[in-house]
Amino acid sequence: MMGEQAGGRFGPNLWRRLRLALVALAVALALTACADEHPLDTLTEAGPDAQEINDLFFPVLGVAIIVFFLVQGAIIYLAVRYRARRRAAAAAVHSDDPDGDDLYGDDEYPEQVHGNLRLELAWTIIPTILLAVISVFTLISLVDLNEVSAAEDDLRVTVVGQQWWWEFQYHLDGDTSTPPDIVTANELVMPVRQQVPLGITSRDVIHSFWIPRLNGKKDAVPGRTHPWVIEADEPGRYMGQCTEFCGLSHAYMRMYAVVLEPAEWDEWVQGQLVDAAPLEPGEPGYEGQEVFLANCANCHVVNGVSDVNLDDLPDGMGDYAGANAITSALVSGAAPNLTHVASRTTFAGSIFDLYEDRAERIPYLEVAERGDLNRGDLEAWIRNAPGQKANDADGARGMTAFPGLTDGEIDALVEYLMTLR
Amino acid sequence: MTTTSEPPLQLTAGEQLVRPSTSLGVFSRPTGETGWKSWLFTVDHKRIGIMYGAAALLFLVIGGIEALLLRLQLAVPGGNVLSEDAYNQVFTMHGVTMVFLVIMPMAAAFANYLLPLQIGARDVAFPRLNAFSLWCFLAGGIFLNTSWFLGGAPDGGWFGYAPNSGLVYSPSHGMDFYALGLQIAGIASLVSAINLITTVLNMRAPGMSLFRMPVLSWMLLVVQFLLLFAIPVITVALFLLSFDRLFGANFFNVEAGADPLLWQHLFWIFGHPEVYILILPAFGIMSEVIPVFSRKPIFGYPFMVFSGIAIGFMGWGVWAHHMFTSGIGPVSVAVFSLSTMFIAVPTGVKILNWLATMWGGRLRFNTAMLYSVGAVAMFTIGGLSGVTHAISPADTQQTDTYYIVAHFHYVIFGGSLMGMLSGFYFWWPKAFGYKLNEKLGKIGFWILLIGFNLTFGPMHILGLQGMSRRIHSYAADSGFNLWNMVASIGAFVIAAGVLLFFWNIGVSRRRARGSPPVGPDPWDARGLEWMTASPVPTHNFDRDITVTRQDEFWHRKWRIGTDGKVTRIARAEDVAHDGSATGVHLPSPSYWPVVVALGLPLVAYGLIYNLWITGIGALVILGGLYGWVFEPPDDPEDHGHDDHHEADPSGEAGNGANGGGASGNGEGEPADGDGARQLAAAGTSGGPVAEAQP
Amino acid sequence: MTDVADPTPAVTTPTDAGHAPPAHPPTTTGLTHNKVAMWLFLGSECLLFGALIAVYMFAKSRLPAGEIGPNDVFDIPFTSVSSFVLLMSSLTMVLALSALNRGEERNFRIWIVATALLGGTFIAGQVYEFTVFVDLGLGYTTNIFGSAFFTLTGFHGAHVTIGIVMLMSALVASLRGRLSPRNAETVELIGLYWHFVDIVWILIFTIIYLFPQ
Repeated sequence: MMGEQAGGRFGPNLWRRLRLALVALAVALALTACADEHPLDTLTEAGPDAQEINDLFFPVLGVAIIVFFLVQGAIIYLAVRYRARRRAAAAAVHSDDPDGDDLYGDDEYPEQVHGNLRLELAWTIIPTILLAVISVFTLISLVDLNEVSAAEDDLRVTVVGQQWWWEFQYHLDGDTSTPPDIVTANELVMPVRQQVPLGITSRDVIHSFWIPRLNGKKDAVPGRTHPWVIEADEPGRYMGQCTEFCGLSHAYMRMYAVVLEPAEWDEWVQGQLVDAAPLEPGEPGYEGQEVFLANCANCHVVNGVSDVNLDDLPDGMGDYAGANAITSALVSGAAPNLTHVASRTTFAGSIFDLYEDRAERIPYLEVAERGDLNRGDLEAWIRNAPGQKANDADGARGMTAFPGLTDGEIDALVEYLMTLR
Repeated sequence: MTTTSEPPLQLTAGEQLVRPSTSLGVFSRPTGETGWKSWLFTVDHKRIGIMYGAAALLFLVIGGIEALLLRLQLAVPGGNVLSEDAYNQVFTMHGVTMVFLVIMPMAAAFANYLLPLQIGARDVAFPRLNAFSLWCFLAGGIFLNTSWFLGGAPDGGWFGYAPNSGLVYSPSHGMDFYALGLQIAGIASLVSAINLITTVLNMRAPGMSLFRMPVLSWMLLVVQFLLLFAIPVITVALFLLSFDRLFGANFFNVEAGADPLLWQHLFWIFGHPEVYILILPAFGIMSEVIPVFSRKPIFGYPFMVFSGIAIGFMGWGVWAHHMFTSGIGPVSVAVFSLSTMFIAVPTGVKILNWLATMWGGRLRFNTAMLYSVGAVAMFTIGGLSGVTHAISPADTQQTDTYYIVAHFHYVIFGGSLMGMLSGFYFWWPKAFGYKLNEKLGKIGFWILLIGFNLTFGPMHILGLQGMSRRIHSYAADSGFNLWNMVASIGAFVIAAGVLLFFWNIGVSRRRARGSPPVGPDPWDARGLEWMTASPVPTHNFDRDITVTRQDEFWHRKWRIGTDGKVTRIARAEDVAHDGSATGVHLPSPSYWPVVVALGLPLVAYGLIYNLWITGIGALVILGGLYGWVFEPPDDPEDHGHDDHHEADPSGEAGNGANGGGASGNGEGEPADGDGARQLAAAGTSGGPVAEAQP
Repeated sequence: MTDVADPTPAVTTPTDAGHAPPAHPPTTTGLTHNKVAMWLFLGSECLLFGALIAVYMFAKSRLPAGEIGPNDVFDIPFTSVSSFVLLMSSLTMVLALSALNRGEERNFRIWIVATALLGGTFIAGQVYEFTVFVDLGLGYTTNIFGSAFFTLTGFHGAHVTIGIVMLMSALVASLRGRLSPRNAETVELIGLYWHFVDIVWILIFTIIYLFPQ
């Protein structure tokens, strides 16, 4: 009964046509909302993996929709066709009891059919075959999706989830046993049309890494590193979101994949590889650097300035500075590496824009051309992070508040951070 | 298992209905047929069923208010109805409440009330254990909800994934309440499962072979087996969590080398059978309601039964489909992907068989029928979206998004809850002696159906557009605004529908006073439960019923001629018992189930706050068990007892002779029945019953 | 008593039962409710211990290198002896039941006490073993192996203890003259439980002690 037609010819042509129809349907469904953007839309894929998934999903959805119409149609048909007619005479007599059973022909029973073995076998076997066909395609895509085409010495990124932000550790030579070359946060910068193998892990609870337009999600589980890949067809910014419930600010654990053309990617890498130079007294930002070292360097690292003696740090933070090892204290302690904080476009788990203009509209590489800083959110964040984004700073989960900092100190700090390009 | 034996229920003709009143053991036994005490200490499966249902409806209101709070928070982007912390507590408790405190006890309500009636028994096998299950469940539910007033409800999700549920990441007592409260509720389910399986296996009416049982009885039996084997697994998981939190064990301590996936495996090995525990009772109800209002027998009874059994078995082999993105290996993903896909087959068979039952019928769309057909339609949607995430690559996009939220609400709300509402409308006259108002019922159905689809339909779109689950807020530019608003409006429409249901109960109750009683069989139904008076008298049936085929009761009312024409041979009132029997020996009410159940939350509070309270709780339990063990299930002073005692040896002799009856322990009843049945069958040849012999 | 065709309740004497074979398929298992319930309960217990054993195996495999583990604490000869003691208690349990069935009250009491004593010896051995382990530095919270080991064996020990309480209750009942061959089933059920707990221990001993790697 269900979709024999589709089951027989699972050819790619039919799939494509079906898919077009379905996209049209989806568009129609979302018509009223089409003015909105859907940065997390799973249906508008932008990479080969998401494509592979949708190529499997749409035909199956199509079959499901066909079955849906068949079943609901059958229900409506049966309801209309076999509805018992009330007897007018009885209705007149029993008008006080419009739903009483006497209204129906009490003695009228239809033929008592107890079953039909052949029919029932048919609707056991046909769906089984249909599902068997679907499972073949499922297995094929599973194999495809697990294929890693990147070479051994290609870029590899270790993704670390932490309450409530993401860290990206770049191993440019693909060797994850050595300390990463670049450590950044919230924005996964990657080259276009190149498969980037990821190793996904967590420092505290389970998170889930998900850039819907590029690939499905993969959980970040403490104590485990899960292989995953990501690839984009076009340069651009692709939004991501933590999708495994991870506590207070689960909703505020977003991220972006920033996809660059190869030349731009190289430029970005070269920029990131440079450590920050400690500022001398008199240089612009020096006061801010002092404030930073006095207040922020306990958790945040700026390579070249606040390189820390790993042994001096409380449990857990030391590992952060150099490696992807799981920290011994699994409560979040480490904080984003700020060496090139001004080169990013968002902060605090990508929930705030770093510049006045929307992150999507500003150039990613030319920091100087980005326009005004989003000073309001940034200063509010530094002064009182728990007030901007729920956390448990007392339990060392999330950034603490700094009520002691004067306005002048915060201005200086912001000035210093903006030197970190 | 330290309970004493519970002798069977004895029917002795010609005696007065006797009630024990003398003192035995520690206190005098509770007496009284009316008043709150008669409910508190009852061991009558029908009263217990009704209380299960009432408690479930109460928790439905609580869980519903939680749902409304969630929808209020999410109606607009950046909502500030609830804080992040409060939101996490509310969504956790919404899930826990709806699964463990609404759908499961609602199924238990139907199981308790109907299972003994449908198989022609006079009560369950262990009436006092049955009462204990009820109070134990209630104790667990109330214990869980007191966490709101004691420093915060559980905040780690109903699925309680480690390590987020651990002490470090969830420092409030909430998750302790979760672990211990579910443990208590789990005891209730386990005890109930043992009790009901024993009832079905041992206490069926003469001639009621397993394959003559109604589909509902079958589905409930499968569910009890699922509970029997699933509850111990969650018990272990909850113990591990409690020990980690309370005693510093290391089961989910990643630092000590633990793997958080251990929790997920344990939870879902329980959790997936749990899904079928939630849905199969509703399937059973729909399989009762649709035939009655189609005026046809269920289409393909063997397929309906075996598909239920198949679901019960296959339900154990699909748990890791909740974990496709958790990091299990690709081979596991492939295997569980396939097994999940094929579990759709027996489910699909059921849907098509319901449709085939309607085919060619004379459909009467009473409220019960509307809800059942609605449940078929809505469950189909949930089942089909289920297939779209059985294909695991697609699931990596869909899991933990609103697409999943939509999916399981179509299954659990659209399937289970609507099925149960159908059951309420269908069996209400049986339990209370009056029908619920049809007009209000139908209006309520349509409001609920529309509200349901308004709420959960858009969630498919939201999920595919990338909206994560369990987020307390979303950004205005995520593109989720419209459908969230629609869903929130829908939630209030649902609330209106549910309120109308309660309103209907009140109205119908008021109108029923002074109206003529509905009679034993208001729907021209098929099951044995309709073969006795409404409301069902305490002793269920005046006489044993000998069953010669499926739908025995219906066949006593109607005859199928050789030409296939159906003609009436008897009125229901003539066939059904009028409930006037006297001298029926029934199990006596007891204090002890309540006492023992009361001790459990004390133990749990003590584990959280102060071990002295645990000690007191343990003493209460021990005292309760002591009283229980030394209290005979029936009062020995009771007049019926002597009778019963005398019957004992002969009963055993009878068993020895026919070899197949019940043995030992004074199980006189089945043996009695055997002999009596022979006589009766011989004496009525030529009558309607003989005529109905196949 | 049956049937609906006859509106007046048929009155039959119980002694009529059994003279004719049943004309319908059996509608009971032929076991008493209590026995069916006990079997079901034990079925459920299989899953409980199955899950606990699985948790233990899993936890042990995750024990970080260098931490105190099975090889550092297990004393196989000692545990073999206590396992043997528990195994023997199954034998005495069988003897107790058979004595009761034959109506030999005195023998029944002897064997039931022997069973309880053997069980008690096992528990004493377990308590001793636990204290030794703690002295060796393996506490409940020491590491993942400690948590899993004490949880699994603790659950089993609790089951044995409950069994001993039931055995003693049977003894008291017998001393008060409340046990006779007629209600030997109560003892049979305690026996079922007791054998089950023994079998679980054989599994635990084999899996946990004999294959510590």
